[in-house]
Amino acid sequence: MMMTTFQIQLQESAVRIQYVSSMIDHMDVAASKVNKTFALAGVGMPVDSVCVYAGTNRVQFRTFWNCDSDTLSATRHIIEMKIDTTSTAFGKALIITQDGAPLENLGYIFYIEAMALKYFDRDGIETAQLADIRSADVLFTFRRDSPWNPGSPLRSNLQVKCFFMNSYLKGA
Amino acid sequence: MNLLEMILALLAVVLFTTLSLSYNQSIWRQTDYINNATIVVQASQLCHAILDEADAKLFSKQLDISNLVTTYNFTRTQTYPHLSETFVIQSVAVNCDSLGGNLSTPNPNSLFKRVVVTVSGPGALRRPYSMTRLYTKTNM
Repeated sequence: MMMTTFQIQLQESAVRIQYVSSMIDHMDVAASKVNKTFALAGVGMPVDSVCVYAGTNRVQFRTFWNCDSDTLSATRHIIEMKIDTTSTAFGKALIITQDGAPLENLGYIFYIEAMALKYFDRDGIETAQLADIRSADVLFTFRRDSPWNPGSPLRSNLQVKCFFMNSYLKGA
Repeated sequence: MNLLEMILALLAVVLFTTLSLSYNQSIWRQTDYINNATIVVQASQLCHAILDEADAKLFSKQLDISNLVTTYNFTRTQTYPHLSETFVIQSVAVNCDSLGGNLSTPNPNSLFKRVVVTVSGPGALRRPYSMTRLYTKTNM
């Protein structure tokens, strides 16, 4: 009986360590993807016409960059980032769409429960004017059911600063 | 059961109880681990934010590369309410050679600048997190 208990505890401990490490890796990758998406906003656009919508939990911007194929595009695209429910068992996710369709390579970023956005102008002053937005603070709340107690999910927060680098390249 | 067998059985109970306790302790610490690891990821994003800000200002010419060394030598704090932690950010910018190495003789007109951002502070961040970026003057 003691050996069985010992083996079960060993197994559970391994699951927990795997859970924590995978979650941390996921947070880092999610932050990198979002940062990249913001950096490619406004390619080929005048700096004051990049943002279409800038809400506290949703953002839309224009770009001549095709985020699906990761190439320069001849047509203008609308990229949107929002938290929405998915038809999968994962529930809510950060969904990145291009012209209304989720991106093929990074369309869904799971385990994100909430996203809060704040926008800043070229001098780092908080703004709500679409034409003035040059960067954003994005606060993510990651949520994942723990393998040992699904009723008590683990949440962790991460704040990422994202710059519209193309707007800065054009003089901001 | 003789005395020796009883002692052996008792030792076995003590051994497995100790092992169980240590594993239970490690399980209790898992939430702490994920919180601590979040601090590390946040520290790396802080470093990225400072260096990306330098990139952005150089792109837009709000900052000239000749002023990079004076502008990006600072120490300041950043508090995140969602983490209830205060981070200490230290940025050190120097003139350097093309590989990022120190110059043998000071040269304020060097074409290469190195910025090292180090984030420390929270107890969970057991070692300061550091990130380096090398800047090159390309427009002569």
